[in-house]
Amino acid sequence: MPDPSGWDLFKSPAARILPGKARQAMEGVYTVGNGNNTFGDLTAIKWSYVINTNDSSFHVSGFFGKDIAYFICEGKQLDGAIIMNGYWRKMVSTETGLIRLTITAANGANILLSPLPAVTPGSIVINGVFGNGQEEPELPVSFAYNRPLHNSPAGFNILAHRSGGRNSDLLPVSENSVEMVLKTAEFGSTGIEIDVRFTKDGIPIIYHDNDLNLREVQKSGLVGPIENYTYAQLSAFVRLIHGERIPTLRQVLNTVVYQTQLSFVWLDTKYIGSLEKVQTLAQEFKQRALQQGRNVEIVIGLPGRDQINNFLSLPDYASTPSLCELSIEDVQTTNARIWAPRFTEGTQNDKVAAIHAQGRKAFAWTLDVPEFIEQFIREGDFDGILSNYPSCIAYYYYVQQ
Amino acid sequence: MYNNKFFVLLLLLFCFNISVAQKKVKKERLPRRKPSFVLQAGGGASYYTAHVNTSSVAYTGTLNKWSPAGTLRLMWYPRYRLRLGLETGFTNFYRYKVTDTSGQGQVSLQAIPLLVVWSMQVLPRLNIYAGFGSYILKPISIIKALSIQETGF
Repeated sequence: MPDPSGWDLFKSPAARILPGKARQAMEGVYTVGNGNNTFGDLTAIKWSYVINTNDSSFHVSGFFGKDIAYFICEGKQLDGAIIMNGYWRKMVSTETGLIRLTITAANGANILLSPLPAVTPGSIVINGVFGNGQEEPELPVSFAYNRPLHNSPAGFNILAHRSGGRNSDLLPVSENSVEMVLKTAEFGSTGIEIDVRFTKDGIPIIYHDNDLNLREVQKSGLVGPIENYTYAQLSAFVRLIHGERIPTLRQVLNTVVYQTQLSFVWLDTKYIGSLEKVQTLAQEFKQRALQQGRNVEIVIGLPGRDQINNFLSLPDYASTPSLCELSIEDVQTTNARIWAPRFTEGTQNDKVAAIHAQGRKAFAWTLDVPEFIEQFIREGDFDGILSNYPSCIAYYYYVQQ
Repeated sequence: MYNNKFFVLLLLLFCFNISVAQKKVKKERLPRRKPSFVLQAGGGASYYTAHVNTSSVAYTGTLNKWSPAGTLRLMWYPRYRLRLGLETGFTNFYRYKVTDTSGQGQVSLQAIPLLVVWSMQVLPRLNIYAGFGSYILKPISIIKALSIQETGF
């Protein structure tokens, strides 16, 4: 990821944080003028935030239809204008670079910074430059406001696989890390899927593979099944690819509830054993979220027969939110709130309609091909899609007319 | 737990071989000897050449890649020049200590080679050896937790 800290204007002491109304009013579908050869014809621009210890940090993201491209910027107001500074990336390749954007007062900043911003097509024009790698950006880019983001009344879940994407996608933070949970909304995610395992001493942790390997962790001297180690051993000796510690389930749920705007957590159970601790934590953090005035849905994933049997042995399984990947009959047996078939089964609109008729939801997993994502959003009736490229889902969902 | 890298370095560990075969070279040039098995033992020092990332974990500057190494090799000497054998042994790839918020501890990555070895007498008193195989890796980690990380779980 290129370092965007070289824009002196953005570091000006006179630059101030943007008002919330300006951020909200800026969101929308924009027509790409300059730069459409690189990014495509449309972009869906949306803000996200995380809550830090003393303040909040806001990022504006633009999701494009070409090559799963996106940009992520910070934004400020300066002398009546709005300036945005960050980087762009294409997920189909390693192409990336800096991007600097400006909305002058005449191009809509005066509207956005007004007490009651009213945005109309063409009233906001974002101009700027982008470049390749760390080089000074010089290529022109421009976006003109076209229409509001699509939002269906029932809402739609844009779910990020492994909390934001795989290590193989060369993201700046590690998969299944607290740091990725804090970053995933910048990619357009409204929820996450995370992988739950247990340490030797019974601590639920978030880790995908069944062993410590160089795909997920740095060389540490510890090898073999992760369940052979205590949490203290993993915490002291093992670091994820980008240097983070392997998080506990408690740490991740705490981050989701208290620091993010995420509204959905899919706990993919990668182990075979009692689900009691996972159930307890899910219930605890559901309550904590409610105390915060937030509705965060935390569901236990049931990917196989063993997990279903363990789920059914829970004392109050029927009232425990769960997500079943198997048949509709299994969904009914477990009283799962969500049916999540593999995307290769197709859109299955008749089965999805049957699930909806039972008051349940349907999610598809794991869609990474843009053509399939577009097809599932246009032709399917799913309530959410899981992907390693949430920015691609965000684009196709938000640009719908 | 297996490392499939080809470790040429292993050959260097046999500089102190007690090689019965060496003494029998002259005999082999006379009437052919009977096939036999020869047990060889060796020892020396090993060095782990690959990089170990020390940037993220709270190492205390005690990363040690040197270790004593011992090997045991069973060779089959047929009537021909090419000989076949199995080799095992013991070494320590690396070890280090940490002082971290989660505790103090140390890790040692032990390795046991399991190799198939060939040798050939190229000169009256010179044999060459080559082999390939896997290492069984056995991490030994000790951690003395400074504090309880989680309340319950």
